[in-house]
Amino acid sequence: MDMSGPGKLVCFSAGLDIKEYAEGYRLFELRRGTGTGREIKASLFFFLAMGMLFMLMLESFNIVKLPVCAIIFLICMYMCGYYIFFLPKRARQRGERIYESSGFLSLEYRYEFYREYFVMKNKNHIIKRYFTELSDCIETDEIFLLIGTNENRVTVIQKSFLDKETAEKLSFLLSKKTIKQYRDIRKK
Amino acid sequence: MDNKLNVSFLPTIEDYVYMRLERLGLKTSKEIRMFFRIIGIIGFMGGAAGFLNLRENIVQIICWILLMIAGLYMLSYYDIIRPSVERNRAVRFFNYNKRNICSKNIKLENGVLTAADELSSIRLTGESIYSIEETKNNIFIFYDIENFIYIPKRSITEKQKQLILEMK
Repeated sequence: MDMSGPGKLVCFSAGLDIKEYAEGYRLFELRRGTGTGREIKASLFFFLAMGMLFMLMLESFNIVKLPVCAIIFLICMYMCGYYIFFLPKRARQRGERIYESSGFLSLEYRYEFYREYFVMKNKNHIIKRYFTELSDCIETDEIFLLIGTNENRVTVIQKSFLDKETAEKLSFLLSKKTIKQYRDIRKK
Repeated sequence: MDNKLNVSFLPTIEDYVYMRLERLGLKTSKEIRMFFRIIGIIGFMGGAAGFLNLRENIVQIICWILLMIAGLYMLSYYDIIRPSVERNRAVRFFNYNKRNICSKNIKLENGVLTAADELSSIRLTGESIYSIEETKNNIFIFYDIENFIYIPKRSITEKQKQLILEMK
């Protein structure tokens, strides 16, 4: 693909389904949102829980004597489980709620990719984003997820609306334009 | 003229910080804040009572102190800790992204609100607006549960504010 010159490099129209948007939002939350560093947080809580368990063990698990240890142990184990299991699920559910509450996400957008930026637009909404503004670009089997640093942070492009050639062109373009931020997590 | 609005503003650092803080305030319900405060008070006072009356060994002392710290943390989380962290983040973000912060234009005409800047443009009618919230320094116009346009109150008159609030 020749990427010289000022013209459009890739352009297409695409809609978005709720399942794909929810998956994109889940990945965004885990990468840049409340789920950032969840493994570290879960580990810290687990370590604290083990500390409390050790202290309980010193007192032969006499919960009456050390109620605080028992309570902190339970809270820490819950928080550990929350970060590992519940947080991704909640992120997906929040994505679904955002999609259902939005009057724009279900509409078809026209995407135009240029050398320095891309534009997505429909009758009522236009967004222009520079590639330098993107903090992450993640490609999965179903979607391209573009995470920005300013407003309108999450852009999800659903691959099922693209033909194979356009999807490959877009994949090549994004991998070149967002080298450090690009991640390909397709199942090989 | 009566049902029209046309304002422009360039967000300052104060606008941005107030927006982030007030958005944070909107995200959390009063009930959850009250719950945290109550649990914090109970935790702190329980820990203090235990520390003063039940100090058989070092393990118990550590536990009571941990409980007091946890109580203080919960008591101050939504009132002091979280706003401070958010304010610092907002200031850092604004200073880092100054060149991307551009002037915004808000127009309201015939029941259609148009918000535009150099990088984006959106047209909202009454049906496409999810909710409108008024806070101390800003008007937030949500077009879904997450995304919004904000207008600092300093850039609009009282009459213009009423026009926007009447959209929903």
